[in-house]
Amino acid sequence: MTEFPTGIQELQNLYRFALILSNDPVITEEALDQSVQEALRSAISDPNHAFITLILNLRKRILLKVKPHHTEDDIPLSTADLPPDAASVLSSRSQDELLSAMHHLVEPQRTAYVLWHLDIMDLHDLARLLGLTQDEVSLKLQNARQALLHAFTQQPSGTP
Amino acid sequence: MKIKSVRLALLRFREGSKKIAADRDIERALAALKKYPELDPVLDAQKPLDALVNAAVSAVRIPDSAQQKFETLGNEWRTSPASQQFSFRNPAILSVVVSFLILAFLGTWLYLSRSQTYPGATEVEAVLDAERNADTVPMEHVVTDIGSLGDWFTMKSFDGYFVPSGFEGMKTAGARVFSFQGQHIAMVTISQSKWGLLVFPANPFGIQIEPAGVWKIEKTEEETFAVQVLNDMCFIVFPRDKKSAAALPDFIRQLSEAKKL
Repeated sequence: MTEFPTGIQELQNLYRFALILSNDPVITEEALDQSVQEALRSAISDPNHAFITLILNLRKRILLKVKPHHTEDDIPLSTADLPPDAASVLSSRSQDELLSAMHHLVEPQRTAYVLWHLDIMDLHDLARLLGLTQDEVSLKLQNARQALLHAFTQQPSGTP
Repeated sequence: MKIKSVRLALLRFREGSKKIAADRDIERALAALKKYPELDPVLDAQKPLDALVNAAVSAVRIPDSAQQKFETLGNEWRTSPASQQFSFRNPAILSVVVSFLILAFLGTWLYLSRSQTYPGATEVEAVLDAERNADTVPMEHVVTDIGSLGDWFTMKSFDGYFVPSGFEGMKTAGARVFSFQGQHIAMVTISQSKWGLLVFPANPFGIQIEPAGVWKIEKTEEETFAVQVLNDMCFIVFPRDKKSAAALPDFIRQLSEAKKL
């Protein structure tokens, strides 16, 4: 069961999640502040449910202000195995470039991949939050990896 | 575990994750890797890529300008009701649980000590309740020696009536027979109707009181009465008014002493 976070470290993780989704520190701070205040006001007796509700509200606030750049229809999704040199494609990129590429992932792959990295909830709750099965979460994670590779291997248009 | 399931579970695996490491499917998938070596490259390609992304995600920090605000928020969060985990390791919850268990134990012990002092104690109280509610069968005015009512009760379909030693010489004021759970219960009143005596077979109600023929005084919230079993017959002496209740121990003592003589 996912535990309700109780410290600044967990707020730090939620900030990371919100910033990758919004790519805007002002929107991130505002959305995080409002969502946590709302969670503090609500009398939800189940800590697990309270935390999932908090994340869903945070995500909703951000997606209302910052629409995802792409949808699954725009980008061909792949769940194929990664090439052996997949990491080398990303290793030459800066952390800012990686975060920007993550920001441009489609939903719900982006939410799945970021929350999965943050390790703030177990897989059962992650699947529940996304309305997916655990195997479907696996496929979304692989979609996200493939999309990151695709972003960095794609040649800019007009490049010879 | 089939290879497809193993592959899907491995796609969820991330090294160094506490939450994910506890996932049973992933544990099983990692164990099954020996069986499917062709899946090794899946993890080999995935691990370093995820590690790079994880480093980038972990590098994100709350900016200094917002640090104070979020620390205050964190403090509020820590003390909020939603953050109070329902865990048996939580001292507050542990103390509540322990208190509840002690109360439950005491309650059970008190209940058992009250109602189950002997087999059939509950049935004895039920017979007394039935007597109070048997208004449809009126008492008949029968004034005679208490030990001589055998034939009278036989005529009322109650066989085997007798009274234990100690009642010799006592006169009845009334008598009746009523039914409870398919059994006939004989009842007489004695000493100007001050006391009631119920006589009925003990076996059908599972009433067993040892030693046989010795009165046992019972006190419940509602009443005080004395009960004994002799030759598979149960006898209950009870006061018919509140004033007599206090005198029951003396009355029973008289019965017991008269028996010795």
